[in-house]
Amino acid sequence: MSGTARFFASNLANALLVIFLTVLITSTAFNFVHEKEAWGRVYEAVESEVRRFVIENPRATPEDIERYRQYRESYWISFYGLDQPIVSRIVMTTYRTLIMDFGEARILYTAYGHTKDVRSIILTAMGRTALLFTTATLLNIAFGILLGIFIASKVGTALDKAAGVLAMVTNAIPLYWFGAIMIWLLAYRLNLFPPASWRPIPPYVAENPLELVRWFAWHMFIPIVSMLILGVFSWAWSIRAVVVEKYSEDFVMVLRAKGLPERYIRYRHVLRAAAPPIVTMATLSVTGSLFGAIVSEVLFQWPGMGMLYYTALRNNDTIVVLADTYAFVVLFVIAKLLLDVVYGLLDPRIRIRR
Amino acid sequence: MPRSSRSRYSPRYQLLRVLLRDRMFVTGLVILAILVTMAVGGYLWVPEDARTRWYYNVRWTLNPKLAPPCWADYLTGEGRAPTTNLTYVAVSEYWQVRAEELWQVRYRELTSLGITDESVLSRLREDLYQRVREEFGGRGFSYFFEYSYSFTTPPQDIALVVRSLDRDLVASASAVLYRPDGAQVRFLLSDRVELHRGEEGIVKVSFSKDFVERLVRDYISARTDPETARVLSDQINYGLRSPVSVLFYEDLGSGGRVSLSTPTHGTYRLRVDLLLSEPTEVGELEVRLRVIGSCYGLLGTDDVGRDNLWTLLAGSAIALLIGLPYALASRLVGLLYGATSGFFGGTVVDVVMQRICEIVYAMPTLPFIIMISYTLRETTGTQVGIFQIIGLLLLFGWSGVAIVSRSMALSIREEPYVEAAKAMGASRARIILRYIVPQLMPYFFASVMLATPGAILTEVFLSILGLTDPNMPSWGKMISGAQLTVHAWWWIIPPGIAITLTGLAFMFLGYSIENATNPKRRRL
Repeated sequence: MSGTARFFASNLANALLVIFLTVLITSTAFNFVHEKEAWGRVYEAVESEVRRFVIENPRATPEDIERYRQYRESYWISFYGLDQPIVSRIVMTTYRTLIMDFGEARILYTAYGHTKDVRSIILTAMGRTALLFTTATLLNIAFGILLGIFIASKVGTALDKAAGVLAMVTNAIPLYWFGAIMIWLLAYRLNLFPPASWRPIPPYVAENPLELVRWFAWHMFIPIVSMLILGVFSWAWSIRAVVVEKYSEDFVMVLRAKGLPERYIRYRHVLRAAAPPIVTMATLSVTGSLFGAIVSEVLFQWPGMGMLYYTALRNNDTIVVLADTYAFVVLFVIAKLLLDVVYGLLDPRIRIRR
Repeated sequence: MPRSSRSRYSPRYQLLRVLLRDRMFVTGLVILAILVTMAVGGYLWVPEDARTRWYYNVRWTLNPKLAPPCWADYLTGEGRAPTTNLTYVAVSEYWQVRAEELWQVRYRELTSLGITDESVLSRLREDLYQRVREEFGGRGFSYFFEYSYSFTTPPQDIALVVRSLDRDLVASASAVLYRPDGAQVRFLLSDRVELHRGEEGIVKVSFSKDFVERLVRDYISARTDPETARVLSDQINYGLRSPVSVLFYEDLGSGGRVSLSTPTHGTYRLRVDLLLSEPTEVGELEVRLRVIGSCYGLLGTDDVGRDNLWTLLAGSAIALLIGLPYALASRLVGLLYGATSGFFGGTVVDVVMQRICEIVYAMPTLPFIIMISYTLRETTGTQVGIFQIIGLLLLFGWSGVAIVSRSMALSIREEPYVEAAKAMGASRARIILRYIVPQLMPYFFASVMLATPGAILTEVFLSILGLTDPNMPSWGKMISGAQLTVHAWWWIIPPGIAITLTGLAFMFLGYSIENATNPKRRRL
């Protein structure tokens, strides 16, 4: 097996192992909650059945009632799978989670396609979260690289120092707080953009792709701009650091000595050499923004996975909490895997070392 | 002096000198000092019950709801009534006041009937006084308050606060308001005083529903056009406007129209009659009138009436108590794990340890913490507090440090002095603890600083999702509460600034330590 193939295979194996283990752990946690809920339901069902039995059979002796109670109890216990050993229940849940067979949610999720089917709720939510946060991250990277290269050309000036301070400050500001202020300013005070980022898409918009883009741009403006303001400076600053470091290396001096144009050196050599660390930063940023999403989505009223967590936690919907955790793990691991692969493609040393 | 010269050139002294010359480090240190002062100050100043029973506390009922800070009036030019306590200017036995009142009425009756004989009158008066005294003697007091009102926005509410050891002492309370324009408003504060009982025997006596109804029926509808009356009574009935606010406007009770634009300034006198369930001495009761104003303190209040300054201060203690211990513990565990793994580099021990670490590192922390917090809530009913949050974070937080420490330990292991120690027969534990770990210390301190804000943010996340202990006052609770009422800037802005500054301070400290100890970075 070549080095490249081995690198990818080992990464994939690691990712699968992580998914399996996290699902195992969440399934264990889930089963504890589920067991408690199920016992409550068994008790309720048996009580009501026994009451009906007593009314329907007025001549039943206490022994009869007791026998009937035990019979119904064992029925419900096996119905909820409580007679199975905990290990086999955990394995069952793990298996069902892995194939995304979650069953039905406790309540109707109106913002997620008006359904109780957890699988379709989760898939809808994943798509929306990916839409909002991938867009924001891509914009951040694009603007960050442009700004970072610009700042790198001004090393040591006042502008450079100011950008550094700005990067640190914006990096420390929490998004769900800044977003609230942006909503207050742009939506309530100036009335420019809608305060809620998600509205059901009207049919005339859905038909026209151009309209659809406009619709999303208008509705997603506040969250995207908030994320840009808070993200782009720290992005630019990190890129500046990498680029400046690469500029001080010997190969740049050689290229300059060869008389190559500065633009060519910058884009063809320096940026190429700076790419791997930038991808590493992107890994951290994507995963970080995914967690930020959990809370920010509630604020922006964006019905993705974060909002789903919020709704499910408020309604004690255990299955949806489990499914959403699984979705997060999968999205997280996939994002990491993709970036690892990109990293491996960009930096040949990584492939060969393994 | 060899001793001092040695210490002057010792690496530790040099490092400190470099750090203290670094503006970033000093800024971080100053912010951290402010934060610690806030936390300690909050601990000393905020009453214990407000910190431990934060979610519901009788204190909050004595504060205005969603009130901006009073200093904001200097910026907006409004004149909001501040929240104040009034102590009574005079107190007398209730029976005397009552008898006096009854006699006034009686006297008018008698004189209109033509009875003017002094001796008869004084005998009747004695009689009346005797009867009233027998009924109420020792079982009630009348307190007289004076409130000088010169604001444009009236207070949200007025309440009588009685502090006594016996909570069931207060039976009922009524009041008479004498307005500056001579009008009188009578109202029963509350017929059965069981509304808000707190610890420490605080009894809050506020308006009865009966009074509100009477106010709407008798005063407002008689003096305004039907539409305004309807709007006003709706507002009062739904709790949007306190009946008190109506009392401070022009023309109330003088036969004209209620105008809700012009306030009547001047000194309002209030007599509160407090009836007690058993005979009591006047000194046993601590009575004050709480003017629940339309502005409050330094940072205003939230929607329940919690003092935002208290929450902010108590929250800074919580933030530091979660952030620093977690960062220290997780870095320590990760450091030892990484150093051990690195020391055994290449062996089976290292491979196994590394694989475990990699898997933990690849797990998404927050969804896990949410899932486990939810499981705890559903199975045992615990809502995570400081210790549980630290514990949950510790499950995952050590892995990143372990990876870095391992790679550093791998190269330290090859140093000649480690070789020499091995040759001298030093034990494995001794080599790890005395030769490898000290070399990792600068990285350790930088990493502690950089890890702290993350833990504070986790608490905020969990609070917004409603998974943390509701009685734990925190910045996260302030933000999550204020997100729905964004216009309450005094509520949402302070915790955000606090979180930002805390994050900045720890980042500054972490980066400057990293820069000072890593010569490669100093170049940039």
